[in-house]
Amino acid sequence: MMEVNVNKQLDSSEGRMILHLEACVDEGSFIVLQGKSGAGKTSLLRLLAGLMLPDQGYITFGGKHWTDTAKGVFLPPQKREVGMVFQDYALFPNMTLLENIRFASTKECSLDLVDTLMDIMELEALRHHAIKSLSGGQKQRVALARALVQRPKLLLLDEPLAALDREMKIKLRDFIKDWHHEQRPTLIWVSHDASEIIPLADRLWELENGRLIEKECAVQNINDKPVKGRFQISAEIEGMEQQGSGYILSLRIGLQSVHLTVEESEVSGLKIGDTVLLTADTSTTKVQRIDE
Amino acid sequence: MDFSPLILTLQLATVTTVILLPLGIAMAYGLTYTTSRWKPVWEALVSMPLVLPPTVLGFYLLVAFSPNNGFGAFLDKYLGLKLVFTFEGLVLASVVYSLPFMVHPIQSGLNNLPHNLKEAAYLMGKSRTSTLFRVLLPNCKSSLLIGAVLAFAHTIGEFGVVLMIGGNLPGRTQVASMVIYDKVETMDYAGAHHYSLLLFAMTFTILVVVYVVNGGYFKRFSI
Repeated sequence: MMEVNVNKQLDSSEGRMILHLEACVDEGSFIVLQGKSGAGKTSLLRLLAGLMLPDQGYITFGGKHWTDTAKGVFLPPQKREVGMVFQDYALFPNMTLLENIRFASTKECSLDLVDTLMDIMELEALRHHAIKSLSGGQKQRVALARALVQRPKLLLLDEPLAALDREMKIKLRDFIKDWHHEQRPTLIWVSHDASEIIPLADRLWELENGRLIEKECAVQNINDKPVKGRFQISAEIEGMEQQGSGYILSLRIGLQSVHLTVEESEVSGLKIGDTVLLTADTSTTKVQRIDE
Repeated sequence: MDFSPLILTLQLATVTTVILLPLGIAMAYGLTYTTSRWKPVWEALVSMPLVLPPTVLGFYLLVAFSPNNGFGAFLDKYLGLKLVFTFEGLVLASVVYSLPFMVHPIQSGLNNLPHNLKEAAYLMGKSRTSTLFRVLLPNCKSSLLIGAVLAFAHTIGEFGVVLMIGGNLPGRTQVASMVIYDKVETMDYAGAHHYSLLLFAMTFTILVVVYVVNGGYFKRFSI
């Protein structure tokens, strides 16, 4: 169990803000964290990692007190078994790509794991390259491999796939999903473009005005309810455009963008950013091969 | 030409630099990462030799280490340390006087490193010492080089402090800069020229080497 109840005053470009975080999650959960730029997402990760001290409150993980301001407890980051992908990677320029990953690996970590990660991340050919010679996407993959090789109990990913191309993004997203399933770390994944990872998550957190708000995961929503009609799928509204008497809804389903024509009455109460459930029954569903 | 003052000067600069390197790293690390409210006071103390007349520093060191005073008498009686008019005294004075030349470049190098390099290493379970020696210092090598060279070159050029604490004793505490002063006083300009040119050439060469190495001059021509 991970319990967080902390307050932290932050000074940002938009002024002073109090970050109040209150949450309780099972170990091994997969959490997606969303929020506007400057909402305090990175600060939340830093508080959990022990890189930032809260003004007040406590964090416990697996029954251990990591931080407790009332009792004066602070477990240093070295002892938390936290792996983190920093937004700007934080790779060590004095080491090669391989040395960066090996430096992070624990004594128990097998060389096989290093090789496996290098292989998955498609970094094999670059293993002896200097960090400064790598592209942004390559650096991001090294940062991810470096965090995974630690086999952390808490894995914090701050936009870990933002610099990757679409194909690599899908490949690594699926790999992280499998890795999480196998290793069961508690995982917090910060993403601006969360629609592609929400389907993997157990919980969806949103930071709004310094408060952590638990949102319902669309996937969980679907799984918890009996299926209506022939199929149902969750999607996020990306755009709404009036056309004649109806509307064209632009929906994001996973990595795909879908356009849907709907009547005016169907869009009332909906806004861009809402997660919606699409259902269809036998009379309106048509299945057709793309190449026909 | 008597080379002993030059040899003594080089010995003094080498010993001073060797002592200052670990001391400077420790102080620069402390000053960079301290959250103490007294930080400005420590920084001011380290920088004092930059603005203080060398004779003032030399005078206070002379008073402190004089066997006629409490502290100097204590060092002499219990530790057998005589720091006035000895090579050891010159080293100590040089270490104090060249301290900012070592600390400032290293502190600046550490300050310029992205903060999250240290944090990433901590999250990998690395201790502060391991992080310092395997991540932080290797990434500010040029600052270490500049610090070491400036401290070395500055010690070669010392005059006021070493004169006060060393007493200009030929063969024991008379360094090259004092010989030049003596030569000028006795109107031996030719002798003064010899020593001056040698000091000029030495310090100039050292600085050129630093700029060449630090500026990646050779890398530009490598394939």
